[in-house]
Amino acid sequence: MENILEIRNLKKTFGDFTLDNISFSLPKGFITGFIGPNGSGKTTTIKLIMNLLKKDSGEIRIFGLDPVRQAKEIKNRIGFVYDESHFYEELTVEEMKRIIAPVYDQWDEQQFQSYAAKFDLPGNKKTKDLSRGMKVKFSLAIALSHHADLLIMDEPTAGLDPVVRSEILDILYVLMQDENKGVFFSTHITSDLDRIADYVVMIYNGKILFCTQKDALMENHAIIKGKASLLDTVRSSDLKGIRKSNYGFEAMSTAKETTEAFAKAGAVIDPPTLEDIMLYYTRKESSRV
Amino acid sequence: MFNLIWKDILIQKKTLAYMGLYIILFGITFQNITADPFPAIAVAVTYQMIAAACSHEDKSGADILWNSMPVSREKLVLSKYLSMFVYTLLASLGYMAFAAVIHLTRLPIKASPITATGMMGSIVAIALMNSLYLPVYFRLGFMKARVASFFLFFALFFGVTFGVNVLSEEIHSAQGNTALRAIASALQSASDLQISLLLLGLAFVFLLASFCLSVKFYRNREF
Amino acid sequence: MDILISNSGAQPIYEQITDQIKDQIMKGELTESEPLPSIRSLARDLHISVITTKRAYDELEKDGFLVTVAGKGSYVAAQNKQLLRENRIKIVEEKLTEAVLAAKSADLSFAELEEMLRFFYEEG
Repeated sequence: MENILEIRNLKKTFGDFTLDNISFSLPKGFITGFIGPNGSGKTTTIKLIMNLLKKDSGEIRIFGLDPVRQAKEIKNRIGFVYDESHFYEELTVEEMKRIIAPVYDQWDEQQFQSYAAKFDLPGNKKTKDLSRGMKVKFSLAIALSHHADLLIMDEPTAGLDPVVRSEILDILYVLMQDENKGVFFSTHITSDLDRIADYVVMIYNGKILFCTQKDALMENHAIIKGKASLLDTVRSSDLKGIRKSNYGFEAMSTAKETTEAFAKAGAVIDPPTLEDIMLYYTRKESSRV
Repeated sequence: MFNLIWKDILIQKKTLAYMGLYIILFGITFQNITADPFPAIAVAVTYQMIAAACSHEDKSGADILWNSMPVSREKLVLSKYLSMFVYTLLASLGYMAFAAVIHLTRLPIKASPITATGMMGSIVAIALMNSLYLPVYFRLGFMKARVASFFLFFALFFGVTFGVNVLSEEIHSAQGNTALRAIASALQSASDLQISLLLLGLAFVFLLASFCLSVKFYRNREF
Repeated sequence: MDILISNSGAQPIYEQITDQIKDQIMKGELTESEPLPSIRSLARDLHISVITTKRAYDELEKDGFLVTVAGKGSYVAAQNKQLLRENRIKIVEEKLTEAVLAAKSADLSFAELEEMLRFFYEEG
């Protein structure tokens, strides 16, 4: 299984934030979710991948190539959808497309038109008059109209209503029919990834917490709720984000054995969502007794 | 490349309209200040359009867009330099239209036609001015470059008009500076072609140096 | 082919898929050599991840329910009818054991249990 993207010991410091020697890989043919609370370094990582920021040290390989030396070849094969669309306000959708299309070697006008029709993109509207959902769809249409092999999305669904979010996910499901393509989906709205993601990478405070298959992640984690006394009697080393209150404790188990032990001891076990995982890994432990 | 230059025109549709007014305004106010208002107008209009283009880039954050696409940073820099000439061309066309209208309607406004010297002077001034502005823009971004360019603009603008006038007088009057007159006679004996080539050569050298600097700055920019 | 996924979390999704496909094969709703959807199109239609469907298919292949031909896709494997019957009989045995235990804990006699069995067999 080839890796579309490889990051090794990537480091970047600016101001008081440091991306601290992060490493992870993105396999071809799958969707990898990149999750973490705001300010964890998701956008910084993506900017480093796109060469918008310069790394302090470490290695980035995209399609096995060097993003600094072979930037043009790589960027021809990358489609991107960012949080902000960065279009020129006064230009219309059609005008924007006309100045962007010539940049890509493999621009496929037919493909763009079919997405434009599917999304109902208004060719004559100025980009400043587009709703946020429309802007994202426009960005997506462009990203998917030049035979890109890697789709990088940075918070594409933030601020969108559920209908539009679902439309975007549908596009991704169709895209994944091609086993040569990969998607890197960075978001803090993890519900979008719960079903579609094949792999999940979590970043927090500039560090990678884990990089695993989503199914394995979900199977190994569980939300445990039980009597506070259980914390003393059952092995609790694999628990994260423990919160105690007058009604008991709740925590996330990160190992199957721990979950089973607590289940046997009578605790309530719930399956986690990615959001739960993100929450329990990042919130501080506390007791409100 | 063409799409990038076309983009620079497209994004300032409003500015184009203002430039029309600029030309009329300057054309009218400058008729008594100087015999040949064209250079000042050309410089002013070109500068305004460059600034407007840069401002739109900054406002939209389009740098992030372009740099995520397979366009080299060199190309992005080059397009801004090439667009400069397009703006000058538009300014010239605009002025010619203005002059034509004045003559046709016989309004009592002096609108001298574009002279070769005028055009030369404009190109040299524009080249000089942007050789200074563009590297600052590529290094600092639009907002900071704006402050620097404010002073730059006035200095060059009045400098050009004043300089052209002073040079003119110095060269043509009998009490003028001998060195300048010497250079002037040398230049006068030189053919027009030679002078044009000399000036263009100077302008080109400035632009080339400026371009190299801009590319260096822009290559190291982070977004 | 009908596959219905529940998100309640009670059962892992890949397991729901394997169970339902096995069930349809054993019941004969899916016949021998019938082509199955590719793992990617199945993922798309069920709105789940490709790895999940891949895992389901891998499990089914391991248990002999389907075969994957490289470049062509996955097909329902030839089922050993004897083996299938034996599997089904095993399920009956398991369920009968459960019923017996439940009956004993409810204090039912063998005769009462037999009566109930006759009733349900004749009715269903």
